[in-house]
Amino acid sequence: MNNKLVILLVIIIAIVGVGSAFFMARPHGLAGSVIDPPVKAPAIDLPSSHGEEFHLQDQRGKIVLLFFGYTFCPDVCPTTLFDMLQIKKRLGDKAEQVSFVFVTVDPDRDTQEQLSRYLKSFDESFYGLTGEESELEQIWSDYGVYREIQENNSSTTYLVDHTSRLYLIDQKGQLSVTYLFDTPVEDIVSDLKYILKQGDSS
Amino acid sequence: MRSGIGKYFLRIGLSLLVSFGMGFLISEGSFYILNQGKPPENQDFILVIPKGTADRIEKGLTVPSISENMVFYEGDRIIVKNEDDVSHQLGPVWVPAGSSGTLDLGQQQKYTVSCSFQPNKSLGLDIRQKTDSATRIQGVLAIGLPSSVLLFLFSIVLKPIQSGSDIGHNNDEK
Repeated sequence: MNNKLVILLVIIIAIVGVGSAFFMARPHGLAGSVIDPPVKAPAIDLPSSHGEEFHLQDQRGKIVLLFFGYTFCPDVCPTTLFDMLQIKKRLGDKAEQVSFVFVTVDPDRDTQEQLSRYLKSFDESFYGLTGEESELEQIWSDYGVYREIQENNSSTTYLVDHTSRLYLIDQKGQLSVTYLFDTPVEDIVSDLKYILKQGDSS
Repeated sequence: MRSGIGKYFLRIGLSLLVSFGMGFLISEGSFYILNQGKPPENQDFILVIPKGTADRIEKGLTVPSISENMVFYEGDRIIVKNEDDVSHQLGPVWVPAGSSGTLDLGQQQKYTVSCSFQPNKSLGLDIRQKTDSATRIQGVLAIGLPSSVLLFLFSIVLKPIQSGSDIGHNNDEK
């Protein structure tokens, strides 16, 4: 076969391939509920399970995955923390650019020590935040967190009904997406990779 | 000469033809009148939460601009614009003050979602099936099939089919 014809065919195939990829490529759609426009994440300044004080503004440049729960939770909280652990694993090296934060809705039982013990069973790098109820109430309100203690006869074994939403705060400190409890881990990982890539390119 | 069964089949065929023609005209005519000849497209409904909504809700007052029950079609979306000073929630969507969130309405169903901007803390959503080609065919069938049965029966009563033997018998009587 004529060499020129072969080269021409290769060029045509390459143009068709690149063109198809260009037209078929769809913009990434975030899996969570998008906050449009993103709003400045309300401040969080609380004692953490790492010992020192946690300031949300210190996390600028990183993505923060934020969850409200309590260590005595029998179902939603351990499941979400396990999901957060899976997210961290699937992000690989990129996980360094993401902070995982767990804010208590049960400050009476969730002390810094209790949070530290509890989070060690998932990942030591996760921040567990607690504080005075008055401080936390402001944060719960800012993030629209519903929280109600289920009354029973015991003062130590009560349950707390609470919001199970996961909040994504971007590198600029803006609340940009929220996720429902049952959002698949791979969808969240895909969103995080996309946002990290966007952050790198901007 | 056509046999008796052949005449019955002809009558059934004619009944089906007339009824389905009528069904097509009624179904497609209604579709055209309602949609101006175009299939309905998915719509975005913007729900604005006005400033002061949280205060009104706390006092047990309704927000006049927001209905308690709403009707949508499959694939529609509700865009919640929060102009209030506090965050609000509509089902899975949490909207901070000064921002907006989108609720994608899925398949046909009727349900109630939690809603922070209604005094009873809930909002009824009625998601109806969108009119697609299958619905339009169903419409033609729904009119055409029963009408053809009725038309055939009425035609039999009004103008009985005479079989070949009947004609022969009648001729003998003459």
